[in-house]
Amino acid sequence: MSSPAKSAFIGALSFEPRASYAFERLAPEAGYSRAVFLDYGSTATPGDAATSRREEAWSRVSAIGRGLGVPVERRRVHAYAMGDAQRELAHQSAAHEVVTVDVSCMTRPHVLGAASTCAKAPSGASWELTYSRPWSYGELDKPSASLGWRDSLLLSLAEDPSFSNEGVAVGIFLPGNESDRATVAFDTIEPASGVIVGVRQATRPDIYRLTAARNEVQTRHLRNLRVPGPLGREMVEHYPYGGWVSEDVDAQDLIAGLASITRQVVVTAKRFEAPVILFPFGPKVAVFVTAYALAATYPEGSWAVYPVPHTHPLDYSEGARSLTSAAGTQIAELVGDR
Amino acid sequence: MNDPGSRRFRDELEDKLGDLNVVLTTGQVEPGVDWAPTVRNRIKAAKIFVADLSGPSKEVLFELGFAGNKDLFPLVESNGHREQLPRWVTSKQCETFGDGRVAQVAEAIARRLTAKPGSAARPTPVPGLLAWVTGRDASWADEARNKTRLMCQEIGMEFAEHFENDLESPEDLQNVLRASIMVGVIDGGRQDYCVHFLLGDIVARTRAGAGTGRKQSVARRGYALLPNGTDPEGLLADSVRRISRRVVMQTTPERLRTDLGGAFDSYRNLLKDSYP
Repeated sequence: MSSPAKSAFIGALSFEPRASYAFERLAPEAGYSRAVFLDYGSTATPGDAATSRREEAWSRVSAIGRGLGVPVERRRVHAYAMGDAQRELAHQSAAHEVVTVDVSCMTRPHVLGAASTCAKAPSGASWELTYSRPWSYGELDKPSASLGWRDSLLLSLAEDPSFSNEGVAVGIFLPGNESDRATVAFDTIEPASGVIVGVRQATRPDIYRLTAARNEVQTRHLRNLRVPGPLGREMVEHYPYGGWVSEDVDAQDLIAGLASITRQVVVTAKRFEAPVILFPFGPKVAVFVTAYALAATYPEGSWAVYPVPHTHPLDYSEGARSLTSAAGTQIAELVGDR
Repeated sequence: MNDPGSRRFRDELEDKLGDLNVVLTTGQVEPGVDWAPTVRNRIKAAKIFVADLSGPSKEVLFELGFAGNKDLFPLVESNGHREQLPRWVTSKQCETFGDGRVAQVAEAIARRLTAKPGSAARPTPVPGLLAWVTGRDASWADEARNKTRLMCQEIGMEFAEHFENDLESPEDLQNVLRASIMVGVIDGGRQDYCVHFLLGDIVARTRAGAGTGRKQSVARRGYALLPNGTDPEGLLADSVRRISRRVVMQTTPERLRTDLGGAFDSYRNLLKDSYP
């Protein structure tokens, strides 16, 4: 990790225990001149318990900042406004040589916003991605009790992408543990072809299996789809995405694996001048890398679908197990952006 | 507890709670009844687990571990008894019951029954994590520890060593409680109490992993590691010695590698089934 004199940290406040983990670990060595935490809690998870835990996280990061002499700021943003995260990141990028982006507790629209902002940053701008992996995600051994969905957003990953030729759109589905979220998303738009990407974590095979099991109905349905008509036949002839296929990537090789899959999808979409739709429900670090790759290599046709939940369960994640970081230059190189 | 003071307190508490329409079940078992599972079933059925930690007794620490996510009401006879407890236990407020405080304790327990549970839930155990719990003076186990660490590396399992002296609070225990495999060094040191507590947790929460489907979790295993040739009598609580070897195993440095084989095979199979 580089530590130039003028660097900033941008993360998100949350009721999750991991909200302060990356800052706690990185700040003593990184020499940040500023830290900004996006505070979206009141629009995402209202309630006394969540508020109290967010305040605890704020106290922790404030204390670290005071101890190190780093100004720590709190920015009120809307939980599901991609633009809020984009503006804040662009502002910090303009003012600092390096910005560390901690996606651990950002909402997915914020993660998508951060990825698209990083993708269009000038080549001299420098950023790094960091992510705190929790020990577990709530009570996964209990039947999932959804808290409901209030809307579904169609988000552009770059400025003014096209949505023409939607009939041959290609999807990238990153399944998560909330399978009903995927159902709502595919009800919003259902590409006839695409790739379902499973992320294999070395020490958590149980979560991989659980995710696969919970999304089984949706993925089985997708694998039965075929792009219709002559375009469909042409697609099968030249590209592997005449329908939906499944591919796995290892968490240890996540960036390279996702870059390779995204490259194949983009080649297909470009050939048919079709949009690519990201279904961003897997690990946030995978969501960031995929969104970044799409925004960097196919800004003219990259989109994401995000169903907005009513609220989030307070046991959304447990603790913080490890910290993963990657330099922006490394991600850009693997994606083929630079 | 077999201490006369503790027994007397228990009898008086039973009477006082009876007056408040609260049923107190104890560790007393009728002759001819298999006592270990009976006591554990009583703990499972209780709403509040009242633990007399005076002593402390390894048996009670094991039961405290077994109580899992129950609402806990820890007690000691006096402040002197509290000072003898490990630090990770005393970070929770312990009431004293000496000096005729039975009525106050009974009322506090009755109030707790109608209040919201105060204990934080224990963390979810995860597969692929081995916790080695030891004391600063247990160098006799170093070679076994190094071999176990290597075994973990070979299979891609995380190895985490914890010194009892560093465990200051229940929060410090969180990562130990997540382990699917726990090897506890037992040699009469302070860490023995912690190991008993953790073995109790393993007996109560027997699976590690997410999901209820087939092959989505592994069985948790506890290992009480004793010096070669040591008699476990006196070092291990009677309850621990009566638990199935499939859950908790007494072992020695000589046998540890072999004894760990089954637990490692389970994890290897989970990996193989998940990522063929």
